[in-house]
Amino acid sequence: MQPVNVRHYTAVCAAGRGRTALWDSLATGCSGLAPNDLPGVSLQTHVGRVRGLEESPLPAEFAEWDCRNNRLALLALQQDGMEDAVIALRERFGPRRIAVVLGTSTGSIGSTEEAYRLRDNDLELPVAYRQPFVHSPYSLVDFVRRYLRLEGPAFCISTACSSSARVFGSAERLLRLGLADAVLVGGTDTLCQSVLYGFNSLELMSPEACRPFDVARQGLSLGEGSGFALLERGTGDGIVLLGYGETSDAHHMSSPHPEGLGARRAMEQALASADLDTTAIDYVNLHGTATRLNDQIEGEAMRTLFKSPVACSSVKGWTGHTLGAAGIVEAVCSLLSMTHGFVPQTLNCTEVEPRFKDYVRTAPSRESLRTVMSNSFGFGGNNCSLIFGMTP
Amino acid sequence: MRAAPVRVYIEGIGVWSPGLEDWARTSAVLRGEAPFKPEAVPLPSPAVLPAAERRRSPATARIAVQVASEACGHAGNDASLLPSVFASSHGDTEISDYLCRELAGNAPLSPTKFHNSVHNAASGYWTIAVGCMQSATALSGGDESFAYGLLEAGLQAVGSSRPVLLVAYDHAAPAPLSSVCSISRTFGVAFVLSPVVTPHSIALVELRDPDQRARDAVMLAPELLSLHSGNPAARALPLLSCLAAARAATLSVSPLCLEITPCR
Repeated sequence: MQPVNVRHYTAVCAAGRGRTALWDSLATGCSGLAPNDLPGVSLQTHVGRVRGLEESPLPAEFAEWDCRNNRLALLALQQDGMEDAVIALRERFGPRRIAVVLGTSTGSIGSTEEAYRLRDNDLELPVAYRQPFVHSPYSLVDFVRRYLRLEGPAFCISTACSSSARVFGSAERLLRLGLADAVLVGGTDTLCQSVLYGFNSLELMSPEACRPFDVARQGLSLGEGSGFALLERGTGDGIVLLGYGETSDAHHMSSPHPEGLGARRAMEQALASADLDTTAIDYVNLHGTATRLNDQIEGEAMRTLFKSPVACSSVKGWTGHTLGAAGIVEAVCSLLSMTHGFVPQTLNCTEVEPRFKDYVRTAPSRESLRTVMSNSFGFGGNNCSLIFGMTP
Repeated sequence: MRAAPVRVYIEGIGVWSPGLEDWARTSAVLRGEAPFKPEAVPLPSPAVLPAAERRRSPATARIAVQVASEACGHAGNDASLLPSVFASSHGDTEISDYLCRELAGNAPLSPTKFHNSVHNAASGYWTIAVGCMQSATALSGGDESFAYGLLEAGLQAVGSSRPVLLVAYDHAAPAPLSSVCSISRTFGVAFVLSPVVTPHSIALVELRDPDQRARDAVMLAPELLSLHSGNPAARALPLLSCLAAARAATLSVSPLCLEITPCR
């Protein structure tokens, strides 16, 4: 494929608000995970929570869209001049020529949970919660396009934990086939009871902060996050999307393919679309959730595909697993690694699985990174791999 | 750079809704040759879903797999080789209702129902059922989910020069969710879309710039009109009506404009 210019990007998660704060956390090994203190959740676990959302309602004219997920999205739009960058392109191309493709998995279900808890009958939700624009998977995209006054194609990708990685593929097609001149991609997911108790029911949550690829890993830590990237045709003078791969496992709803076949094929497809071979990849930001199975199959897929070891790490020890936002949050972490020439360690991984010790980094290092890959895998066996590079 | 229209051929069609149990029945109803009786019926039991998966899968997955199977059967495509796009405004509202209800009552969650709560559950069950390792997207475009599904699937088909499966579905929302979600009917539809004409081609559909005003309107019978407004996936009904009658038309399916040319 022709490279796509990544004109601007930002993210917010527990490890930092905006690029500078997030980069500081990555460079200094400062995790955003903390013991769970979410109201109404009694589980012993760690979470990557973004502070202050409870006290930051949306502007009054967007009260119909007000919920934790959209508050976090707005917070991300306000970092690093993202909102201004979108407005500048809106003025250049016109609002109809800018598309919005965002990913979310839990969306605003947290508000629906609250509404059920506070209901006094089984026919209607409480009056204060009768917000049709909130109780919908489309809420995030609907809020963002209205807030930024964009009128191009606007849809939400919701493929669990690969959601906001897949948005890059949809955006590339919209640009290539001329349906938009710029695409705002990204995604947002927020902590809520259904994911905490849901992952707990699957026995996938770690009581301590997650330790991806460690021999003693006990499962994942959940987090929340939001991020955006502004894409255009052509190459600018910075970062480009070089390729992407999208595949299915065809195996099981919540367990990955035992040999990591879907994951490997997503990476192979991404390499093919970028017209690169594995030796061109300088760093891989792994999905690395710290569940026994994910890290096992992803590590095996890496060993099978990358015959000679490549620098790899998972940043979930900083951010937690931000689910539908993981694709964009980790794409942003990958871009920060590339622009700073820095391979972050796999935080909290002290004794790496012996089979993967040549791949998974447990200490940070300064290295020139020209081309990076970011992996995201989700329930339903949904896999996406992205490749970014620097121009020229 | 302005868009050239995205051109795709419809190769196969699947439909399921109470009173519209397959495309043959639906096309007869849309042509006015058979009555529409939307009475409560059991959910479909698609043969491609193994018994264990059929028990575990939510209603939306059974409907989606049913219409996807029918469309692939008509198109003569090997389902395991088709990339797919699943479009739904609200996903499975019965599962959302279950999760919120159990959490409000401090009851433990079923792990199966939890993994069924993802918006891509139906696409997951489909890819597992037919052994498809190709790309499978799940999206929501709110009330415009069908048109956005058609756009994404059309772009994939044209962009990769290969056929793509589109599935759109939504399920009537249970109370109390129904107080904030206007989906009152259950409907699923699927198309196999090809970027090139084949012996199976039923019609050419051009996805045009929304600037262009649609010329034609399709008059749906009142009972079909309430289905059309009661389910975002049923926004496909005017297109289906043209396909049933082998009629050329230019239709507005917000936010797209569709130009339909029958192939036979």
